[in-house]
Amino acid sequence: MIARLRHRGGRAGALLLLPLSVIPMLLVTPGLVSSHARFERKFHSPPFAALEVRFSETARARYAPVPPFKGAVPVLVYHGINEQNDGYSVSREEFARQLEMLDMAGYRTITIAQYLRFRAGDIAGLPPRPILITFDDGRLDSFRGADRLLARHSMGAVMYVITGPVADGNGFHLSWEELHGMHDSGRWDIQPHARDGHRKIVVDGANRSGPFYASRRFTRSEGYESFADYTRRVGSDIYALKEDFRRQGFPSETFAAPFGDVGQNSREDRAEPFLRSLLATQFRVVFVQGAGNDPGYTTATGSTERFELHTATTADQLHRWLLRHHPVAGATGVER
Amino acid sequence: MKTANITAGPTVADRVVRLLAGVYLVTLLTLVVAFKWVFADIVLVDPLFGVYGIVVCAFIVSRFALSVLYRPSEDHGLEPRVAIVMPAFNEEAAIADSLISLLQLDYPAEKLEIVAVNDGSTDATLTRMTDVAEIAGGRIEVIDLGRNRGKRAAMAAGIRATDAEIIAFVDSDSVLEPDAMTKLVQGFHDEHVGAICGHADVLNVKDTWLTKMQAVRYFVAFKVCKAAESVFGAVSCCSGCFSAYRRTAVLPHLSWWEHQTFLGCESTFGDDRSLTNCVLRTWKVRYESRAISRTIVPDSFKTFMTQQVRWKRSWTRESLILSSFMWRKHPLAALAAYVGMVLPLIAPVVAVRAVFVAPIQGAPVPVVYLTGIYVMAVAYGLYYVACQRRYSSIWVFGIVFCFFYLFFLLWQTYYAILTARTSSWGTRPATAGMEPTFEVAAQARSRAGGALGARSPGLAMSVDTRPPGTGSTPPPARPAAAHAGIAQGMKHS
Repeated sequence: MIARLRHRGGRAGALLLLPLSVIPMLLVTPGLVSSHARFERKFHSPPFAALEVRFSETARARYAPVPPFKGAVPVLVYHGINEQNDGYSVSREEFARQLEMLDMAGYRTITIAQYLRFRAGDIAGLPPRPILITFDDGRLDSFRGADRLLARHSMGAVMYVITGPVADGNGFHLSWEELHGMHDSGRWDIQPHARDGHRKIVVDGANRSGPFYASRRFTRSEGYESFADYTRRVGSDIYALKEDFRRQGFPSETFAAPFGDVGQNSREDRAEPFLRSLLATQFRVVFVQGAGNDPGYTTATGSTERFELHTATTADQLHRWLLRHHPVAGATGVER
Repeated sequence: MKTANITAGPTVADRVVRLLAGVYLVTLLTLVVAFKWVFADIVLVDPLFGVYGIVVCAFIVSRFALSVLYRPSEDHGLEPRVAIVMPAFNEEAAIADSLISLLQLDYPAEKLEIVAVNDGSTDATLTRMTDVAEIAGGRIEVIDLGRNRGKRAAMAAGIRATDAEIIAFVDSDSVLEPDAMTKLVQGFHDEHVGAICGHADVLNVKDTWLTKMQAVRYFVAFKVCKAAESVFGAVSCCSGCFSAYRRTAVLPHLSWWEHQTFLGCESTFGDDRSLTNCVLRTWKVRYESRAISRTIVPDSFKTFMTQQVRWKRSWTRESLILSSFMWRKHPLAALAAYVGMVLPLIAPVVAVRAVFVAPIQGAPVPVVYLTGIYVMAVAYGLYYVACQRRYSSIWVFGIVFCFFYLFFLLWQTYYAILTARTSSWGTRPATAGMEPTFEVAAQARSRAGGALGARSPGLAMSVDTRPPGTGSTPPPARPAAAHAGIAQGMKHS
């Protein structure tokens, strides 16, 4: 009896080897899946082909070249080029229409170096209708959606990078390798946006949040951080951001403030002077976005507010904004 | 020696397990192909590793796929005159059983000659031969070469001693199923078939983990690799365990084969692969899965490793010959043969890179590489389970074998290539098989029908110069390992 049981037990154990053999495969499956995701991310994430745009005759007439202008540069900011319809991202088709419109209206993009010379009062070499296109957050979808279109129109743009997630190799942000490739293409300038500071932190006991750079942190255990701690936290992140860029060999001369906030909306009165002072020592230009999203063209000495493109922003709306703030009063378009 | 229990019938549970193993195997192979498909672009990123992975995968999966198309020969009622040549060197432990198994063959006695050739054994092999011959009633012819002349000389002596239409070789440590010969010769119904390789299972399965490992390896090597080759009539090695040749296919090459040299040195081992090459050049060579032999395999690490080096050496030598004419065969057979020659050369490089170099350079642990080996190992094991009548946990040793191959056997390839010229068997003196060949006619022969034992004029002048203790069984030259990575491990020659 015992021998029979032992025999059956041994046989059952032997049979168990079959299902047990699956276990090593199951254990490595998550690794293989993530490996596949990394593979796809690395090797199957090229820029999308440029979409064709056909405007109606009416629209073509409307987008006739605007009068040339000097001493001003409109600055646009995009957050993502994709089909997510999330409020901030612009679709590939709409971006294509906007670039086509800019091209027809005679706008030519300038590089960050040209923009810096412009800010220094040197307008030599600027095209007759200069414009600066920027992208925030160092997103892969922005690069994939925009690159071929920029190339088609012989235009360029500036990518503001959050360096913290870049090292993660995630599927959302561009990698350093890709950023170098973009830079080497001549179409893209790479500039700093934040290191870990592109997020919101808790700013009061009601769990309200505010921008990392512009707010004093609140924790239930220790209450509000001291202003000194706040300046150390923000300073450390900005210095680390500069260091990331230095290591990669990228210049970090301009800065796009996360959420467009340099403390102007902060509850802490000392935040804005501190932040502006800190950023001014580290960067030659700090871009922001303003309430109402209706800035004028930037000038050598004036505001550096950017016009923010949203999902709902159309080429027509962009065109109207450009005309509304055009330095030549009543500009409606002239022959080339 | 513990032998496998082959008599118990399958239970319902066994049938269910076989079915599940089959489903598991097909699923696994499908997933492997899907994985390679998804990662196909790796060839652009990492050409060596990428192409190697895809080719190995394609090679192994194609072996399984082709083996499904394999069909054993139909029974044509063919009963040609057959001579079984059994060379032996110091096989006193096994020779009697082997000869008795030949006597028990279910084949007309008047059409079956048994030629036992004693290759100068220093133990009681000759005595055992003559003892069995004595009770065999004249059915066994014993030839004593008098001194050790090498396996090829022994086999050639056996061939020349008969005029049978079909000449079969059975290693002296192999036994045959009663119907093995009947099944084996049916393939000669096709007049283009020059040789047929029988199936070989491991006799001493349960002796050690090494023999269990080899049991799975043999099974897959024959049932999958040889079956796949047989689909195109291009089996690259008729195992010395049990094979049959058409006399007219062998005779034109006999002298060349017996005295084959490689880089100026006489080729003493790899006789089976070499003879297959001779025949395959102009004939079809098939595999017969129903013709079953069981053979004793090495049960110690040292013997096994020595055998493997020897097989790889003969693979090196014979691959060069095979490559000179294989292109004339079916394109798929030729492609597989050439791929099978190239992969083992790359496999060690890929292994070193994946396991050692890449991690040092900062790459993660080679999960994909090791998983690939594991999956293929499980696939071989599952095939074993799916084909066995009764479930046995021995299939797990298929997994053991693949990693054993990675750690021990893979690295032998280059050493074997560099030393391919050697004549040493590793288990017998280097001089074995290199002595001047005497005319076989000069050898004493005796028909054991009336005369007892063997008579050999040469016996008196035969002086054994081997040091004591070297008379262990020289493993019969079976097909040398041929395929890279896992494939190489499971390919039998």
